[in-house]
Amino acid sequence: MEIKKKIVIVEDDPSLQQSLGGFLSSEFEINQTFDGETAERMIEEIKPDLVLLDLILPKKSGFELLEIMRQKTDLKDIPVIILTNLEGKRDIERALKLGVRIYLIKAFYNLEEVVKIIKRTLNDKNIKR
Amino acid sequence: MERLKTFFQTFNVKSQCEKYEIPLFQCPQFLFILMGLIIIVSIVAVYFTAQKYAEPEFLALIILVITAFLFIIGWTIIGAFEKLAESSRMKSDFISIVSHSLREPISAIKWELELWEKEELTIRAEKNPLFSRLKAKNQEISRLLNTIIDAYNIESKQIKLYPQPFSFDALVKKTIEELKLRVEANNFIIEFYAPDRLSSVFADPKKIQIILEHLFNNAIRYSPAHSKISVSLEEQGDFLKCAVSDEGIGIPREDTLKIFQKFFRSGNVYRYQESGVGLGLYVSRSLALLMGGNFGFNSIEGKGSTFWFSVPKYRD
Repeated sequence: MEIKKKIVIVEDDPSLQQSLGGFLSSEFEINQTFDGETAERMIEEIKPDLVLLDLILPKKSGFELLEIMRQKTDLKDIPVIILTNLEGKRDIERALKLGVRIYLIKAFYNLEEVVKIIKRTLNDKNIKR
Repeated sequence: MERLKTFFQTFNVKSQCEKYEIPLFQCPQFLFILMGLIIIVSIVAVYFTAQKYAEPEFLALIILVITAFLFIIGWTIIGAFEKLAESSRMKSDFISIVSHSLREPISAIKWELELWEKEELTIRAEKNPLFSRLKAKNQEISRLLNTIIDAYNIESKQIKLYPQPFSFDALVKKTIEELKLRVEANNFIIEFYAPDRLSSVFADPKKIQIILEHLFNNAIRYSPAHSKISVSLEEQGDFLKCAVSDEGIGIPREDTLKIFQKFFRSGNVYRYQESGVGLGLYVSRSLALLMGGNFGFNSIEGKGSTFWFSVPKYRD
């Protein structure tokens, strides 16, 4: 049996978390958390294949988390997909500067499209953060 | 004539100040004119006083008093500007916070519906019309909110574009497909004209889709049922042009200059469609220009309108 790829979902809206988690859990090993602090610990412990990250989060923001991940050698190559509703240029550019390659605005994507992008990212080994 | 009127309007201090919703003594325009008057009066006064009293100390004192007075007025003007800037900043923050917080639950509903629909389909194989209706309503809220956010981002220069080469006609067809439900519900006829081979364009597809949605949306909203909406694509030099024509109510001549202003809605639309915020054309035009294209329209009231926009072709 093939080992399921591990995804950490950091999302503070329980409803969004459930629908995302539910949609992905059949194919991937899903770990979810609501806040930035727990997320940091979780990512360090699990070393997932992919992180789905919201930007506005309690305790530690997505930006802070990205900065932390970038400084740690064992975390800096984990691909991150930003999944947020922040659409301002300032926010997007800040995330891109922190090494993010995929920045999705929730309002513009169906679940199915998000899943497609997740799969593509996981299969494409060349996509490093 | 219209321009002359707006020119004189700038001198109508009272109405200008009412626009800002601040009292007269705090209104920059009023204070500025007041300062000018004081300067003129004081110069004349100094002139005549100097004729009567020749002592330089006395004149210096008068000038000192006047300067102090002008300084106070200047200070008040700066204060008024600060107040205006502050209120404008607060308004922007308010829009940004509210729209972001509304987006989260709307996205959640969208995704929950998608899941539910999938689940239902596996049980019943047939789609409940309820889903389509709920989805359409949620889309409507989402679109409205997105328009407000776009307008805000355009104004605060916060729009981020992701230009890339893509097939324009495929995107237009896809957007028409997505609107099918609404089109069919109102018995519209959509016609699509495009040459067989079209160049790719270089633009942000999500933003192009937003423009298309606004144009289709307007065509549907302001046209009678059973009428025709035609979409055409053509190459024009280095650009690809897309035009959406309807047989709707059209735009009154006197409104043609104002149609791209924010929150402007033409006089004749209220009789026809009450809802709407008047941001769609402002957003569409701004986006087209930002992507290096152009945007325009021609219209005859009562006959119909054609709105068009162009985007640059992709060059290898």
